[in-house]
Amino acid sequence: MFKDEKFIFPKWANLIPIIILIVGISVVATAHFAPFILSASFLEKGYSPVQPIPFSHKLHAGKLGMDCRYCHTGAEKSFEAMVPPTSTCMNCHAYVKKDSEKLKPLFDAHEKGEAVAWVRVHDLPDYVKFPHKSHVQAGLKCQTCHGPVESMERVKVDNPMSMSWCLQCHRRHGNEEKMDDILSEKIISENRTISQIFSTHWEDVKKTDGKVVREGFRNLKDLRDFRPPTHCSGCHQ
Amino acid sequence: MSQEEVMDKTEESQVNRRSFIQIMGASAALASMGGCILRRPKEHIVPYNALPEDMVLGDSLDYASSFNLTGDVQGLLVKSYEGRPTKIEGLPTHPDNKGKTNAQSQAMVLELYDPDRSFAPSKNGIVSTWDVFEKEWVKELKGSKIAFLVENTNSPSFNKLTNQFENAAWYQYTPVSDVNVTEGTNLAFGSSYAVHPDYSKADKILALDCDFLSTEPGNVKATIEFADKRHDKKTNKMNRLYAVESRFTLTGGKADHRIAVKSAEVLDVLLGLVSELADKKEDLRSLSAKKLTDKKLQQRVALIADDLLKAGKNSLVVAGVNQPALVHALVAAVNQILGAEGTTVTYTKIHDDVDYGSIKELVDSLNNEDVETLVIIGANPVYNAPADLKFEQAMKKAKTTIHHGLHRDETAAVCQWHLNAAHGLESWGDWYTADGKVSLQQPLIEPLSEVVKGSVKIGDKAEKAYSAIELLTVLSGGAESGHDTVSQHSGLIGAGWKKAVHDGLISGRAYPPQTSAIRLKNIANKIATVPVVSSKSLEVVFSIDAKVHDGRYANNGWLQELPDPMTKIAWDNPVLISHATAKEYGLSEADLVEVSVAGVKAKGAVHIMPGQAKNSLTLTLGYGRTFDGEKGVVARDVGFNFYTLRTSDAMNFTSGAKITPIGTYSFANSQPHSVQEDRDLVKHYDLDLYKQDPKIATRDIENDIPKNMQQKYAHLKEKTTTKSLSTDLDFTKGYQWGMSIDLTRCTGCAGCTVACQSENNIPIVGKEEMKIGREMHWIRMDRYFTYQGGDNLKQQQGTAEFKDKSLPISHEGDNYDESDVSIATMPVACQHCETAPCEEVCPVAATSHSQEGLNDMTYNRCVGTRYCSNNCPYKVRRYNYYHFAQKSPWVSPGTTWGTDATFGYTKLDKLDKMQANPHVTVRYRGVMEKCTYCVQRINKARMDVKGEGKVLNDQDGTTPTPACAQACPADAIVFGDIKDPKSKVSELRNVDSSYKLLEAINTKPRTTFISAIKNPHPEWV
Repeated sequence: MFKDEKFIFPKWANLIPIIILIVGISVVATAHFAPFILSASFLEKGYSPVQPIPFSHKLHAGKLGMDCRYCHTGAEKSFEAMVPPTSTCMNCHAYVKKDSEKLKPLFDAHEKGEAVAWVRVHDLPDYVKFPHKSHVQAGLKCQTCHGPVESMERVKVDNPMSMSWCLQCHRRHGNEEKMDDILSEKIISENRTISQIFSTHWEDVKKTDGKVVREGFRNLKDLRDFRPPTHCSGCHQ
Repeated sequence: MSQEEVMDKTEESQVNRRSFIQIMGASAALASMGGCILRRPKEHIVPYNALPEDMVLGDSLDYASSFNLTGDVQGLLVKSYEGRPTKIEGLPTHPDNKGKTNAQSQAMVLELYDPDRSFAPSKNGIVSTWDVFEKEWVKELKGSKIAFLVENTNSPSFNKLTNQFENAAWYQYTPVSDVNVTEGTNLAFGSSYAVHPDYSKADKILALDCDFLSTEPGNVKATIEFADKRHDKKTNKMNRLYAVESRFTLTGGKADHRIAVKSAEVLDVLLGLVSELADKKEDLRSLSAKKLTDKKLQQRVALIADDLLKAGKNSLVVAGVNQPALVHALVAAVNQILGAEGTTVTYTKIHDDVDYGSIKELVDSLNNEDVETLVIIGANPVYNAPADLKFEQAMKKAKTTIHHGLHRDETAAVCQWHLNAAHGLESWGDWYTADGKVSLQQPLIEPLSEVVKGSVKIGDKAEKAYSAIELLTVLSGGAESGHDTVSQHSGLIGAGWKKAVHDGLISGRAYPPQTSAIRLKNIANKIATVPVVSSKSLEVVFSIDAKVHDGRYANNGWLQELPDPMTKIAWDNPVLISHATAKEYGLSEADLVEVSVAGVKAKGAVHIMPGQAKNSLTLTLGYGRTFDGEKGVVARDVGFNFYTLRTSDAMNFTSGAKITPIGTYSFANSQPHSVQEDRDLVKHYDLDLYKQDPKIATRDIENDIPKNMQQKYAHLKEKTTTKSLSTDLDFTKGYQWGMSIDLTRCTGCAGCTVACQSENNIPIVGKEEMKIGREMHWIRMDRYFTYQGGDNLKQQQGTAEFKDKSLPISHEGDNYDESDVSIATMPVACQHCETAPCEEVCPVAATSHSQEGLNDMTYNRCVGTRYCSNNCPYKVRRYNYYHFAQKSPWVSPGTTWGTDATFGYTKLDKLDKMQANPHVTVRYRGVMEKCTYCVQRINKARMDVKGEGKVLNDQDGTTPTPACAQACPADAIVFGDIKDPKSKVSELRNVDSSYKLLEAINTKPRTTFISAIKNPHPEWV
């Protein structure tokens, strides 16, 4: 052994550059991907919880073609679209599929006078107020936000439902100079009749409403209160 | 104060730097770990089993109902979300209150959810059930000699049910009643009448110890009528109000002239007036009334007499319920002789379905052991009966004692049985209004029970609760429901009954007016017997509270936290004393004192009140409650109980009191500084001055800056063209919201504060937090003292030196005339400045401007720097120092936030959450909040008309109304679209006397004020 021993790096020190590299890359990667991972389009979009009863929108709204408002009665009246009371289901299921095992929770609830505890799919934060009525009045179809529900076996979140997603529409719509852009994008179509709005034949409407849009827009523009809110208190009240 | 606000001793000791870093480290680690599995917790949607008819979730269902406060009835329209009543509004079609309310009726909804309410019967303090009680009642309790002591005698159904009991004796007691009024009319007319003043026809009003704008019965109706008559903007016609009183009341503050005399001397002033009137009206000479010895006072009274005579049938004299029968008799005589009877005052019979005995008679028969079973319905005599009757001892002579009430109060504690009452929003009822119309009370919710409350559950089912009407039915062995009793008694069936329920009123039942000749001889005889009281002797006046009334609302957090309209003190009932008297007895502000009346002593704390009559102490009743509840008990140990000094021969005021200091005390005073210091924040002018120079308010801007600073800020006066810091928004499109507040109409009742609190989920904070200025009210009522006196007043009028009217009061020890003190009131909420100073300093843009001119506050963005609050010139921003919303509104007054639960967080009961308005975000700790112009109502109104292709406007009546404007009985607050030239608010913004608060600092507020105009007598001395 040397008396005047020099400091020699231990062997593992050879790994330091690699460790620095890996840590560095992961820090950069985290910084890069974190906004996405934490964003609503990652966390919310595609959320599709299992419901107590495997209710199929594909069957009811798609195949049977039921109007959305048969169950969601609040959509054109109020803030809430409303999940139907048990009695609404029983209007038909008192006669249809009376012995279905899958519908047992429904029949149980009906008998006991209780309700079925559905799992909330579209869940906005409590500090946001989303009025269904205003959006229906502005001519938005249900599918604009909820996606093609009539083709979903189990409902899933089709759009991120984040603030920036909401504002995409609200900002463009409020800006009159960009009117033509809006029309070409066909995000909204104001001249739909109420029954068209709640029609579940999504594709058909998409194809046909090119021309009527323009006139409808003009009608609404004349109203003083046409612009959708882009200020905070429009939704955060 | 600022030091206390920033440094919190409780928290400092809990979290030090080291533990903070530990927590931060842990949470950072957790956050990085949870990155991939972050989702909000799973939520459930639980729909109805069968949706009730007409119910749309998210929309309120409104029901007509009624509020009754010992005969003072208001029609209500109660908002209910999914079966939860959340907000009280006035019933617009009700003939008396015309859609308006006051603080107490607004707070009724909170009383419903009071967790200290009793939810089950108890026997000797042990929880029991109604079934047990009913069995025992039939078997043994129902003795042969029953006595009932009831509080409310103005329910036709209840009164009818009293016939069901044979051999029962009926007594009635409320601490404050109109017994003097009925006795007075009996003395004057030979039969007892109820008195109905009509302020809408009165040009000249003299109020004798009568706070008709605030504490007297019928104050909402009176305020509506008075405000309408106050100032006609087009013709500049005003009514004139004189007030003679001991306590400085809101009515005295609104009065054009006020005379501060002891309550006992009000009679002398009235006799002085009669002697002046007798010069013109021969009839009055037979009273041989004496003139006052004080020459100046007599001169003033002569001016009042002259004014009343000139007004003739449009004059009105009113007297408060505190004043003795003789005063009421004299007032009736004066009104008849002036010709006012039939115009400004009418008389009707009194509801006489049942002849109720007095509490004194009850105590006598209890002491004679004539009562086997005593049933107390609603009343709380152990707490508030006259002390000399010794009610508690007398009560024990009855074999069985039963108490029926909302709370397990002082009386319930000593009764064998306590029965839980149903609240007014839980039961059917009917109430006579003052003049015999019948208002219906409709329930909105099943009686809340132990099950809802989430604690003890008795048996399998929720325990019942009965209203007074249902209780009588049960006791008499009947089986009708409350609904059946009320509907049967109404005599209406089918569509007629449905319409009455819908309207909240059974129409066509009012009593016809009555009249008879005045019996002057009786009055003259009575005058001769009045003893002379030395003016030097110290007087105590027992007064009901403007908030908790006689103590019945003591457990209501909203009302406790509401600063008293006059003293601005919350969570207390100070002994009010004038400056000179305090000096004489060696007292200073907030001294703990001992008041003794006829040898009986009571503790209190003094507040020096400008305008209080010399040698007169005001003791406010209703505080110092001791009853037990189950949770916080808001009322316990708040203030002092003065019922112990009140005796049956001196219910209203008495002389010969003593007061000695024994220590110190501290108040939660929301406005300790009450002078305007040179600045006319409330611009107030006399009518003459205003007529000469209608634009005076707009020219007065330089006074916004204090005199000693005017030089420094001289450049502000010049119109500069420097660029604005604010983002330029286009205020020419869409709706542009604005508010106008008419200070000539505003009486300062602070009903708006409670309305705002219930609409906007505003928490209460308790006394300790309020002391350091952390109250959360979005709209506060500022009250400034002004001074109308001064030797060279006349010469100075209209000159610059005249501005500082308030100065004498600000200098302690100055000798000023209490009669010349007046007040100016001003409701201040967020002014929604177009160039808002708060917006410029927010580092996270949590407060920003909307296209419609609203200064928005976004709670989820706020990080709590409080820069905005510091930069707000109006000091209207409120900060959640703790998670106040988690405990509100059942915080007990002594609570220190942060000690009993980390970060002030405790879990709420189901019951506590039920009052909240679902359309307003509940704010978390560390978040700033403020008035939003009730943006939830604006958004809702906009949504409602949009589908019809219409715009909001006043013509269609679609303009949204914020909660404050909706409640304001004086209609002082008007809201609307300022861009619409036809809207009412545009009109009011353009009247001559309209101004902006602190206009000189160029904030361009959207709220404008209309100057307070007074109409003093031109020759007043």
